[in-house]
Amino acid sequence: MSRMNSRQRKLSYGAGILLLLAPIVYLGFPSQQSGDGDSSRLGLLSQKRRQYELGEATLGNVDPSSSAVNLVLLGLRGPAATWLHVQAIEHQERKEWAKLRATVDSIILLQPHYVQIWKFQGWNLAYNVSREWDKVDDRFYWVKEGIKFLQEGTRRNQSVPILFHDVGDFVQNKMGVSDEKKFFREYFEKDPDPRFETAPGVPGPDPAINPNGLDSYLVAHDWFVDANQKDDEDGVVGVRGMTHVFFRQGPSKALINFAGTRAQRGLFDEHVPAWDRAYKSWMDDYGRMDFYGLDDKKYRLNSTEDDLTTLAEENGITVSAQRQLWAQNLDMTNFRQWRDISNLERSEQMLEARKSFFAAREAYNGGRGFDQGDGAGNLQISEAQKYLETAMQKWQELAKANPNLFMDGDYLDECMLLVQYYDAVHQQNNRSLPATFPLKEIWDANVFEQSEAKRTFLIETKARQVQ
Amino acid sequence: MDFDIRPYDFVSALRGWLLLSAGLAVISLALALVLSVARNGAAGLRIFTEGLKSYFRDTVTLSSRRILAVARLALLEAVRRKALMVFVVFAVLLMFAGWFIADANERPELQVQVHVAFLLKSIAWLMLPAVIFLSCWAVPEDIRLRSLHTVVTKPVRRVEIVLGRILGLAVVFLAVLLAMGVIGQLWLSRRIPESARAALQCRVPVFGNLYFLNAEGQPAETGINVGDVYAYRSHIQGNSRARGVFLFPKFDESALTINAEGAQELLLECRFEAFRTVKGSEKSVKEGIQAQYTLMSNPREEAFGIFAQSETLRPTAEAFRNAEFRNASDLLKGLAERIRKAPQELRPADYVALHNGLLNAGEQLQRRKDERLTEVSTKFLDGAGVCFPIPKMMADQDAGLRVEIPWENLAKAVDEVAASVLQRSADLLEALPRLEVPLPAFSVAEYHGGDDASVNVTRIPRILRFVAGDESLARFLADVTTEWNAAGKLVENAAIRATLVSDLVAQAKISQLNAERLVVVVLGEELAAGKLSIAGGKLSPPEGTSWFVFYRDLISLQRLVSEDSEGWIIEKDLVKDLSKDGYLRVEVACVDDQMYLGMARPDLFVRKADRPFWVGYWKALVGMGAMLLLMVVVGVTVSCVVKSNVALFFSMAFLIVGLLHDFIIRKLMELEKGMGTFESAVLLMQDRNPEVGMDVSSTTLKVVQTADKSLDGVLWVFSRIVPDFGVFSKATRYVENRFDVPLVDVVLPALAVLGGFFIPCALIAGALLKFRELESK
Repeated sequence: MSRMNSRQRKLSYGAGILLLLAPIVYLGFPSQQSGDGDSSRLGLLSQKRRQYELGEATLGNVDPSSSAVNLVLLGLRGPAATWLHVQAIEHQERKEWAKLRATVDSIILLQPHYVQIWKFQGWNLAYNVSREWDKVDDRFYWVKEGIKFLQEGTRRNQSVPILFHDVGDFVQNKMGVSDEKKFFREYFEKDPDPRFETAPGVPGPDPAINPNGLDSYLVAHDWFVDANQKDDEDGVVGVRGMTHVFFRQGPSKALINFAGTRAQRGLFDEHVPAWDRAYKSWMDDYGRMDFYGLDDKKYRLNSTEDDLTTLAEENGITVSAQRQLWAQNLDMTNFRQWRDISNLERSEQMLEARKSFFAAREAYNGGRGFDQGDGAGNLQISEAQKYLETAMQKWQELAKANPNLFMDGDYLDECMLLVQYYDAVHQQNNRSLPATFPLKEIWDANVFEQSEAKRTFLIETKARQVQ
Repeated sequence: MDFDIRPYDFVSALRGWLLLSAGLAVISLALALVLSVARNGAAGLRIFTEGLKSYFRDTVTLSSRRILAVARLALLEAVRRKALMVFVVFAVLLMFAGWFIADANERPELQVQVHVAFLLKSIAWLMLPAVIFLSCWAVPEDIRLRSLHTVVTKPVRRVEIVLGRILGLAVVFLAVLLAMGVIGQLWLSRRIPESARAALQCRVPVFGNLYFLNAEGQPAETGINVGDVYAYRSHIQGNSRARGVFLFPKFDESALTINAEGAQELLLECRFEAFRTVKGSEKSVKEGIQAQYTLMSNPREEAFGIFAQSETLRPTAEAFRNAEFRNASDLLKGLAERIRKAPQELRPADYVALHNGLLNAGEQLQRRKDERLTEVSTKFLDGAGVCFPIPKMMADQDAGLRVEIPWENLAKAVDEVAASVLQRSADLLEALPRLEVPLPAFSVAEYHGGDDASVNVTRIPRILRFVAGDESLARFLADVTTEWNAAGKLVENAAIRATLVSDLVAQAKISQLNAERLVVVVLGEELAAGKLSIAGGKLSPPEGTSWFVFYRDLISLQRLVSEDSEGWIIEKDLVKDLSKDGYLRVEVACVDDQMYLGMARPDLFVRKADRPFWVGYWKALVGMGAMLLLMVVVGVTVSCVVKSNVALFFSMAFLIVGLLHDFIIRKLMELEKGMGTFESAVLLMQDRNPEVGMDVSSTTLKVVQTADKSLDGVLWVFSRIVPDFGVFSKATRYVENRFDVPLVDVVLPALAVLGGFFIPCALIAGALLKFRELESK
């Protein structure tokens, strides 16, 4: 039994509390800036927070609700977050999408600076949840949800470059590469949701992901640029889980992808300028960046002989070792191939070749692939065939001038498809392929690619209208 | 909706309750007697009897005035104890709720779901602690502070104190719940964004029962699992004979709604899931997978489809389905012969299917209350009776027991069924009509439900006009002919009535071309050929033939091919014709090849006229109120015998077991993953996973597992005593999904559970308080 009476006990408790509070008050005191900018010795925690950029405000926008929840939960943030993660998985398994989304929102209130959660749940919504839905506009809605979620992540974590990069990646890949790209690219600029109509019956973009109504690759480009800027600022959370040299190629790759769509859409006026911009970005921006390879040796992808010598000196290695390091990374990033492709695409010859194939396709799919009589009893070859022959000639010239680019990949596929069209025109006019024709050499040398070309041809021509 | 509601079985619940209450009463009395004798010796029996009499007197002479006085006291005390502080927390929560759930989803129906779920959960979880604390604290505190002593000195019975306490607390908490409900209603109606308010609705669903037909068209309990972790829905294969068959029992006119034009229509709403094995066409990608409903009246399938459970009996089932009764009779005869000659060739499963088929057919035919079918239904039931013990006997025989199986009796019974079917084939044909109305295919909008009146909702007019199949056409023409013949509308002056074509067009609603074909070409020709005759102003079918058979033969001879390019379009009434057996059968098919359609029982329902959202909301609050009152009853009861902290602990345990009831049952049935407490602890300590198990000796293993089993036993006992709190929260899930809460299946069971606990708990608490020594704290 204590010999103290009630008042004494209370006083002793009070004294104990004060004793314990003193160091906390001392450590947690706000830092005070003196006139010359040096912080005083008071506010140690505050100083450290500033020093390591760990304050809420320096990490990103402060969400009062997040702070309130963490305060209310006292020390139970961990168990609460774990429980919510389990709930989220359960909601996903049970396909309770509304509850999943709400639970994910609750998780980020508790763990707003846990980058992996933003990355994982952003991916989960845009990729896993979206594919669970059947109709393409529903899928697009969930892709947007994933992107918006990641965007929110960037606002709350402004010093994490990978989140900015992921937004760009999602926009680029979902709109440009996914199975539903045909629809998603269209919806990105003309959202099927009636809330985003610019005028009655005129669809517009969702301002949350595409405020200026741009092409998806250009929007992705802007996000990649932001990501690189954050990386330059040397964010608190650096780039993790991705090789730096790949991380930094985002903007240039987005421009290359954007340029690639110009000819596909028949926008030939924009073709050369777009490729020119992409080439310059690849060579002058990305190519001139400094990266660190094995053993922290610096290299530059677009290096001149002088650059190699300078960098070798800087790295303290021989020029030959520097050249080897450089060559390895050129191969790894496919730098030369993209350089050559961009360079070729921005030429007038390539523009003409693409135009002629485009015209040939239009003619064939427009039903202008049948031979016609000229009124004097002579049979004239079809318009499609004329375009095809012109195109084949142009592509053959390009193939001869750039043999490396035509050994495999898109250019080879394009040539094979061209011949496939040519074959189809002959077949529908009851003729077989002539003994010689431009691109024959390529056609014969790539027997295995012929079936793929036929498949692509069938997909492309499925909806053609026969006159 | 992703949950399934089964009807609550009140009768078996009442039976169980009576049994348990009686058992509890006997045990309590026996225990009291033993204790009394042990404490008082020979006088124990007298004291026990007197105590029992006194308690009985107390119980039957309750005074409402005294109860109300105690209740008032409890009420004032609750207010004094700041029970209403819960409001402050509630208000604060609602004020800041927007922070947490704002913009969780842009879609209206998802927004409603999130807001409603948040509100109802908040109310429940804010009130539960207050309820448990106050109900567990009340009586023990009275005893501790001796305020109870002043009450018991007055002429108030102890059981009245208990009832007064329960009533007082109930009034307080129901008032708080009511106020929270009103505040919640205001909050919801203001908080939900303008765009989503239209989704605040209370759909009134009528659910049916679901079974499947597999890709070969044979009945199956489930469809295909496409690999979902949560095996809630089963899938049917597209472009095959696979169907999801929904049967809506007790279907009548009340299920119909009135549309904007004032006409009656049936609303079918679905929430199917789609699964693709290929991307599909561009149209399909944009619009979704196509499904198709077929409304059916198919008594032959209902009666004989079960035979198809067995591969051996499948041809018999097919013959019955196709109304080939003579063929079915022959097949049954062949079966009888096989049973006679080589009964062991058939597997026990075949005899099970034979029994099920005979029994189901007999019952279904009997249910139709058609005198013509009485004899044949009796034969089916007799056959089922003979067949019933056969599979068990075969199993016994296989186990080495000497059993004489009455194969001859079975063969004879099957023979008699075959003979009866043959004899009554014409009656069976007449009495078991099949009517099939295929509706246009529609696109399934996956995971959308009720957010838009046009999405996933099919409106079916009461009067259906559709292209008739062969049997439907033959029956339609036979019905018209019979009816009009009886009314003398077919014949005039010993010839077919001159205006018959126009009459058919006007009254039977068939097209001019088809009416001409029927009257001029077919009837005229048949009459001229002498196949039909006119006598006494009536048209007669060929001798020994019914009109149905007459028309069916004409159709099979291609004599009634439609002249109209649209086919034979006829009219049928949804209620009178398609559900005249008292139920509606809807078959769902997936139209697209290589696609699958997933469904569960609640995924297709008849949607009656919507009610205001608040009807369902308040019903959910009634369910919640029942849960709170149950906790009051339990808390007050326990606190009559133990101290407040123990009562608190008990009530919390009661609540947790109730909430986890479903999980506990699944755990006890070993349907949940994971192991027992001790085994898990050992695994944790050994840093091993469940797959490899514990690294211990066999003795330790046995000890650990026995310890876990004993804990399971404790859980089992608790799960028997504590009700499943799911009964109270079911209503919430309905409202979240914007459905009306069914009164009989959801609200009444919650009230029944409350009543089931209230009566014994009040009696027990009264007895405990009466016989306890108040001075012992």
